[in-house]
This record gives sequence, structure tokens and C-alpha cells, in this order.
Amino acid sequence: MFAVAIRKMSKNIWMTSCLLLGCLLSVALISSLYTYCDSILNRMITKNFEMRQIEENVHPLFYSVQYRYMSGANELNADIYEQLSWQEQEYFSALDLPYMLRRESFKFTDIFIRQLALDNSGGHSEKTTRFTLSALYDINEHIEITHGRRPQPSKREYEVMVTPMTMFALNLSLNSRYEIAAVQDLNGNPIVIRIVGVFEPNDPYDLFWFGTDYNSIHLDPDVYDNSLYLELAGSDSRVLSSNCIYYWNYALDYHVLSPDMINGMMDTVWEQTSYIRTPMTVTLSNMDILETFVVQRQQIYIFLLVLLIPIVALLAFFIVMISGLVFEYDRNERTLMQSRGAMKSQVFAIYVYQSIIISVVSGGIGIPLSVLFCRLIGSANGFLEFVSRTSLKIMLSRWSIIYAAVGIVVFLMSMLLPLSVAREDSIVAGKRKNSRSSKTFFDRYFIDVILLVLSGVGLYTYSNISEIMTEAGISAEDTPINPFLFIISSFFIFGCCLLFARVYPKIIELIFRIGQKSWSPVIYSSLINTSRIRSRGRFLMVFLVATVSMGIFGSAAARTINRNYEDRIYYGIGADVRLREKWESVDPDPQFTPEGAPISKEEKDLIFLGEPSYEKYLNMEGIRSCTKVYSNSRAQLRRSGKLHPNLNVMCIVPHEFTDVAWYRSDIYPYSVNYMMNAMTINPHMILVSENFMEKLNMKQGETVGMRWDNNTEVIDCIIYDSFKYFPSYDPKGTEEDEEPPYLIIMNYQLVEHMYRIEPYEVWLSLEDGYSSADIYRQLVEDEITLITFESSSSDVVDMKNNPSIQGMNGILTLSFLVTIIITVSGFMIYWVFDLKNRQLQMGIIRSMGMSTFEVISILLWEQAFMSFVPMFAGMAIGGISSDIFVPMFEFGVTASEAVPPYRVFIYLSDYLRIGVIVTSAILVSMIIIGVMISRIKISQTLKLGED
Amino acid sequence: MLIRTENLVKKYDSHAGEVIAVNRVSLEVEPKKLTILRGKSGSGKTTLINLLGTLDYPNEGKIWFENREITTLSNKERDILRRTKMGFVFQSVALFNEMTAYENVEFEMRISGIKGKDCEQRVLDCLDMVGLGERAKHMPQELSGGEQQRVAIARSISHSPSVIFADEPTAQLDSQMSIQIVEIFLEMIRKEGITVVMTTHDPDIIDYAHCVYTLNDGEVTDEPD
Repeated sequence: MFAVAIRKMSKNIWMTSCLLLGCLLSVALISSLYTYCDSILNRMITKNFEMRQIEENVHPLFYSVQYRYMSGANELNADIYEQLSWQEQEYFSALDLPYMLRRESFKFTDIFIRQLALDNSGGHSEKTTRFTLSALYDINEHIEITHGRRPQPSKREYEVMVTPMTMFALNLSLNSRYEIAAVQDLNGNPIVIRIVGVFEPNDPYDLFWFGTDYNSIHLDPDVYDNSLYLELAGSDSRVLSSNCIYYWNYALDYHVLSPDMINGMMDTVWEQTSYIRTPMTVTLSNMDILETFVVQRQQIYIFLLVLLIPIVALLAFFIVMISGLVFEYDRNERTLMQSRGAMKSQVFAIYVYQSIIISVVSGGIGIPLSVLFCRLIGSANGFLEFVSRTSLKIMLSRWSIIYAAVGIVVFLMSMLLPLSVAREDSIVAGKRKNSRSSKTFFDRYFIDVILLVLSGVGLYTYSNISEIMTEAGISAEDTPINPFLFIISSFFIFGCCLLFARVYPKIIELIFRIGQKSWSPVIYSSLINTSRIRSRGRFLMVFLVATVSMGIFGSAAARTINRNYEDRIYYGIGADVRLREKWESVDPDPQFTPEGAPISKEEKDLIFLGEPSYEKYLNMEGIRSCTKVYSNSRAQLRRSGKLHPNLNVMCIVPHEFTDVAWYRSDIYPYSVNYMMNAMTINPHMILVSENFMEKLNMKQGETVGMRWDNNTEVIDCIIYDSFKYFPSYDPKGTEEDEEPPYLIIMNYQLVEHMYRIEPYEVWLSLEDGYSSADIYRQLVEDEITLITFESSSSDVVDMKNNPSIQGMNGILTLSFLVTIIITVSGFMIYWVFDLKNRQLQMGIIRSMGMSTFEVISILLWEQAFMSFVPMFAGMAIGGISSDIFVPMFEFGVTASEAVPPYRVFIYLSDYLRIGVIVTSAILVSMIIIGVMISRIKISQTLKLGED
Repeated sequence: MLIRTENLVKKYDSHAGEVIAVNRVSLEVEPKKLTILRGKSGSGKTTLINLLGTLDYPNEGKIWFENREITTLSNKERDILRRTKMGFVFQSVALFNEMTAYENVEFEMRISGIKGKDCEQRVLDCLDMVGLGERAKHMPQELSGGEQQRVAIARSISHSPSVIFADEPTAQLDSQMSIQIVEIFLEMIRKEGITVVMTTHDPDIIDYAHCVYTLNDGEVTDEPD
């Protein structure tokens, strides 16, 4: 049977390849999703740990088993120690991770010491000092004694060593003896320590120091035959009744952690913390990073999975369609086999074998292919846009393979679905059914209507359901598209596609009826064939419409989300680059203002600051234009004798500002240039934020006075106009603000003329081809001290590297490419198959006297009706869905609340690009079909009909 | 004479070498008669009828149709000839499945360039002639095999051709139905004054023929009866 299956597949090589392609892509897609998530999250977690390491200067990931000894509460002796160290090894080995370094140590915390008199008289000072007594095994290999000597065992006292910093902090001195307060040994004698050495770590950043502070008082446990802890804390020797903790610490390498390892590690640690009882405890350092990772992994995974659902559904649909075709194509052969005595179960087995072979091959190639897909997703920068990024370290986890396997099983079933449905059909019944079944499953059960109703209901109850989903842990907060919205938008798109496939043939039929008496034979035939298209043709049409509409929708969603994120960044910063230099003080301790008045404390900080050279920006390479922007949040506005304090004022050089600042034209009622021109012509003209205008009920043309800080002079200003948005201005403010922020825009040159120069920001607009990093480098080379340096482009890069955004761009692009591939192959296979089925028909038409050209024309018209019209329909459906759903994708805030307002971006170029891709696919298949037709010999096709 | 051939030869290349499907066939078809080409399977009947109907090209020999040599015609002229003067009925019923019985017939007329009111009436008349006037709106799959073949006949005569070439039109039908089909042909000849050239290997039908040529290995073995 296996051999028969192989032979059958090689005979039907094209259809088998098509089926294989569908399965392969599906498996690769499903598997790549998981792989991508894990790879990107792995990069993120490594980055987070690296950052933590930089922040805290210590190795951030270690596992620690601790044993806390409390005098009187628990015993400690050599046997117990043996047992404990066996236990800790068990605990660590449960993690199943390699370690970089293992360190055993113990610590006595909260010990109080008092200095003993140097004359050994037993007298001591009254002052006690709190300190920690540490003992790190192997410490000697990592330190250098700078003063004194290494500690040695001594019967009378414990010799210790310290770092200079500890010495300084605790006010200790070398060779001094200290008595531990309130502690005696078993014989009632005080416990004494003597500082014999001062040491410095060889390398303070050495991994050896992870999770510990070397700035304490150190015993050297290595000189005590490993029994120092027992000697100090053991129940059978001296009793040191304080907090004694024994540590077994393992430094772990976070670079090698795979997401699966993290999950395993977290689970083990959680489990251990639940069953390990005091005095033993286990801890994992920086659990917050790992916990965030686990949560984020879940969120991103669900989000991307949701994005993938429509395409996977489409692929399953494709597989069902192709395997149905294969099944139909084989009908005669099958009957022949049955007539020769093959049992139905044997025939069925051949198909099962065939499906298994395809599935196995799909798995074998699909999983490696998923790695390629991951790279593609990882390099997505927008819809159908790619950039080269630092390559993602692809991690094929166990789950990627499990998911691929689940996919394989699902697709295996999809392949066998048409078979199991039609297994009992006889040839005659099959033919009859085939020719009559213009109604598809979708038509019969009104799936289109159901989907549309579902999406309508979903939209209606959107807010309630998203609350439920948030409660269920499917948070929309951290993802660029709310998963629920995406699902209902997919319902809407598929509903529309199916509705189109239902209505469209009826429309064609109507057109046919209207002109039935006058159509040319070519149009006559094409219209009839399209209007009475059979179910498979309809599937193809649904495919095409769905592909195009999803493509348009995906591109609109991705573009809108990307652009709005970018807009928010550019608006928030206000320009390409915004920086503030450090202004050096000219006089370190001024007593008088330049005007000779006594100076206040606030003024001291501001006054006598030297303005750094601004000219350098004018000549700096890569800067197109620059401008000074001075901001102050303590401005007062005087109107009709009344003062309104604590206003934000932003002073700009209007004619420069228009060149530098980032504007989006749709958020201003008219061109910003008008406002800026007015401010340039009359420097006293100001702009006032709309909220403040409304609050004070001010009018355009009104005169008000402005001043701030200690400037005595009031600047007379005329309100030119109001604005709702202005670069970098957030009219909403934060939730803590009692009032929304009010902003007044003034002319910098006027302010500069009337008031003292104060540190201002420099806003830059960069030339194409230059990045903020170029500017930063030049400034650093010029030894300029920057207080702030904000760059829109680098923020945009960060945004694009966000796993969700990148995943969204990648998955939407990948989905589109995959749908194109399967649509084209579905298209080809459909037409080739259709043509084979219709060869006889073509022969008859030719025998009736139609020319080859006319026959090709019939097919071309059919293509036009079945491909191009659906393509345009797909564009329309995609456009409508984008208009409805994309504005709602704005998470957290509704579209109208976003700053700057959320805007849907659909570019004509997107339509064109998708149109061109689909059209060229259709054209290629048309050419192939044309060639096939022109090769048809009438007499031969007519003979075919006799078989 | 409506059709006359002279030393027609048609060869095919096959795996086993060259096959001579039609070998030096010279025959004549009288107008308004039922001419039958009979022979065993593989005797060259279909090849011959395809040659006569300009669906295939002979390697040698000539064919005259209405006293005009048609072997030298261009593709375009052949198309026009078939469109106006010839009708075909095939063994495999070969109706267009997407079209109703009415549309199947109408489509043939449309190809021949006949439109409008006359066309409508003619379609119904043709269907009436084959006894299927009542079933004009039915789809092919809703008709029996015999009915489908009758629609094919109605289609082939709809544009009033001079000749109908019927290649084994009764092969897939039972004998009663076959005779019914032949009777329709004869009625066509009477009513419409057309000529029918038909291939068959059914001996029951031979008796109805005005003229019979027997083919054996591509050669005509008997003179017409």
C-alpha cells in the first residue's frame, strides 16, 4: 500500500506538491511563532539581565540555598552539616542547569562588637559597633593583603581581615582586638576577634563576589579544616547566638538560558520554596526579571497566536480544498482499484499513507523553514518592510516542535476530511453531486451571515469583553492590537469574503440575464461559467478575496500602528533631536546680580552661567537646521490685573522652529507657518493653548502680560491664536495633574532681548542619511557635556525592536506572503485541474467553430471575472475593515484621546503593491494556461472525452 | 455530392512506431442522406470523421465539401466552415454542464452568429424536434443519458448546418434509446434537409442507413450499400 501511495503521489506530482506546500507553510508558520517568541524573549531577558548587571555591578543570576541557624532553635553538628550539604546539592541538581561558579560561605549578621583595651586587661570601650562577620571559602585566591597578614587559626581569638572601606566605615584599626557583645562561648568566656590584615579584592568585578558584599569583616574559613562554622555555630562547641546563615551559592549563566529552562527553573524554585521549610530556604536572584519574562511570554504568545489564527484557518481551508481536488482527480483510478478487488479500507489506507508521508515531509522541512521565517519576522520593520538587524539567536525549543506536531496532526486530519466525507460515493453519485454542488458548506449554513453577526455583536460588546479578557489574563495593555478586536475583525473580513462569494455569482447571473440576447459567444460562455461556478471555484474566489483583504487590512493595521507610535515619539520629543548642554558657572559664588542687587539662592544657580557656543550647531555635519527653545514652567500671565501663575511657557524662534520641529498637518486648523509668520512679524504675538484660552475665556487679539522667576519686567503680549497641539506639548497631562498643562508660546528673540539668557534646549533637524548617533559622537568628540539628549529616531528604533511590534509586523507580513503563495498555487492548481476537466469542453467549442483565440478569450474573461473582480472586492473589503477596526486598535486610550490624535494610514501604494503582487501572480498563471490551451488538439481532446 | 474524399491518409506517431489510422480512403457522402461509417474499435472511424469535419488534418489526400476543396483551408476558414455548415455530436455527450438545455443550444447559435427573436424560437423548435421542449430549463445533469444526447443533437442542428457529424452517438445508450436517436436523425434529414454522417459499430443501426462504409484497419473495405 505504501508503494502504491508513493506511486500515486509521483503521478500527481503537482497536486501533491501543492498539498505539501500548504502543509509545509502551515507547519513552518505555527512552529515559527513559538520559535520567534522564544528567541525574541530570550534576547530581551539577556538584555534585562545585562542591564541589571550594569546597574548593580554584580552578576545578576544566582541560586542560593541558605541554612539559618538560631541558637537554641535548631541543632547543628557534623552529621547535620553532611545532610545539609547533601540536600543543597539535591536542590540545585533539581534545577538541571549548569553553573559558572559555586561558592560556600557563611555569615553572622547583626553582631555588635566593642574594642578591647590594648593592654589585654579585659577592659573594653562602651561603644558598640554593628557589623557582619563573613566567611567565604576560597577567598584567598581572590584577594591581596595590603597590610598585615592573612588570618591564622588561633586558640584564644579569631583572626579576621577587612577591606580599607570597612575599616574606615566601622572605625576599626589593624591589630586591634574586639569582643563580641552579649555573646559567650559554652564556657561563658567572651568571643574575641583580632584584625590581622587588610585586603583588597584582586578584581572587584570578579564573578567570585556575586551576591555578596566584600566590605565586611572576614574570617578565613580555609584555614579551619572546614569546621569553622561548626566551631562557631555548632551546638557542641561555642555558641554564637546571633543570626548565622550558611550559604551555598551558584552563579548561573543567563546567556545560555532558554525560555524552557527559565520556565523549568521558575517552577522548580516555586516548588522548592513551597516545600522547603525554615531553617532552610532557597532563593533565586532577580526573580522580578524572570517573572516579567514569564508573563510577557504568555502575552506576546497569545497576541501573536491571535494574529496567526486567520492565516492558519485559511491554510487548513486550502489543504481541504487541494486534498478534495486530489481525491476527485483520483476518482477513476480509485474505482478501477475497487473493481479489481481492492477493499474500501485498503483504498482509504493509501490516502492515509499519502497524508502521513506529506505530513512527515512537511514536519521535516517545515521546522527548519520556521527558522527562516523567524529571521524574517525578526527583520520586519513594517508591513512588507525589512531591515537588517542584529540577527536573532534562534532557539528551537521543545514547544516549537510540539506545536509543529500538533499542526501536522491537524493538517493530516484536514487532508483526510474530504476523503472521509466522500468515501461512500460511487462514481455516478459523485459526478452528480459534483456537478450540482454549486452551494458550498458556507452557503448552506450561512456561515457568512453568522460571522458578520458575530463580529457585529463583538463590536457592540467590545468594552465588556475586553474587560473579561483582561481578567482572564489576556491583556491588551501591552500589545499593539487588542487580540479580541483582531479576532472580530477577522470574522468581519471572512464574513464579507464569504458573502461576496455568495452574492457575486448572482450579480454575474443578473448581468448575463440582462444581456442574454446580445452577448457575444465569448462573454456568453464566461458569464455563465462564472455565475454558475462550482464550489471549488468559489473556494478559490474566497481565497483570493480573503488574501487581498487581509493583505490590505494587515498593511493598514501595521502601518497605522507603526506610524502612530512614530508620531507619538516625534510629537513627544518635538524634533529629530532635542538636547540640553551643561552651562558652566562663570562665577562659583556670586554675591550680586549683574544689575548689582543682592542675589537670592535660586538665582545663584541660574545666574552667571556662561552660554555655550551655539554656532557649532550651525556648522555641524549632518544638521539641517537647529533652533533654540527655552522652556519655563513657572510663568505668570497677567490679565486685567489678575495673575495666573505656574504656566508653561515655551519660547521659540518662529522662523527656525518651523524648519526644525515635527508637525503633522492634520492636527492644526491651518498651516503652522501662518502662526509662525505672525510671531516673526510681531514678536509680541503669542500662542496660547486652547484649554487655557477656554479657561480664561480669552479672545484673539487680547493683550496680556507675561513674566517669570525674578524678572521684574512684564512683557506685553498679544494673543494671536490658540492651538490644541504643539510639538512636545501634551494637552492631557498626567493623571496626577490637578489641571491639564497650559502652554504659552512666545518669541524667543523678544524674551532674549528683555530677560537674562538662561539655559535653553537646542532642537535639531537632521539631514537625510545622518543619525542622532552621528551628532552625539561629534558632541562627545568636542567634549561637550550634555544634560539631556533625546532622539526621536533612536526611540523609533527601540519601538521597532519591541517584541510585540516586531512580531506584529513580521507575522502580518509573513501571513500576507504565505497567503499570496498559497493563493497563487491554489489558483494554478485550480485552473490546471479545471482546464484538464474542461479539455473536452474546449474541444467541443472548437468543433463548433470557435477559434483558439476565442477559446482563450473565454478563459481570460473568466479569469477577469473570477480573479480581478474578486481582487478589487478584496481591496474594498480590506479598506472597509480597516476603516472600521483599525482606529479601534489604539490600545489603552481611545482614538480621540491619543496625543497626537490617532490616525488611520492606508497608502495608495499599499493597494498598488498588493495589487501588483496579486496581478502578477494571476498573469503568470494566465500565461501558463494560455500556453496549455494553445497546445490543445481538438481531435485529441474529443478522444479524451470517450474515455 | 456533399462530401468527397480522395486517397485520404492519416498517420500518427506512437510508441510502437507509425500508425496509419486512415489509409487511402476515398468516399462520397450524398446530401440529405444518413451515411454510416462502421467498423471495429480502432478501425479509424473517428479519425476519418474528424478529418471530414475539419477537426484534424490529413497527411495525404483531399476532401471536397460542397465541391470545394477544404484540405487546404486556413484555420480561420475551417472555423468558419464548422461554424456555419457543420454540426457535431459526440459519443461522450459533451453538453456544457453549466448551461441549461436551452442555453446549450442557444450557445451554438450564438457561435454561429444568430441572435435575437429568431434565435429564441429556433432553440425551442430544435428542442421540440428532439422531444425535449418541456425540459428546456433543465441542467444536463438533471437529464438522462438519452435526453442529454438529444439535447446534443438539437444543439448540432440549431444553426441549420449542411451536415452533422455524429461520432458514435449511441455508444453509451441502450439499443432502444439508440434507435430513437437514429430516428431523430432521419427525421432531421426529412424535415431540415440536412445530411448526417455517423460512425457506429452497432449492427442494429446499420439498417437505418442510406449508405454504409465499412472500415478495417483504416481502409474502406466495402463499397457503399
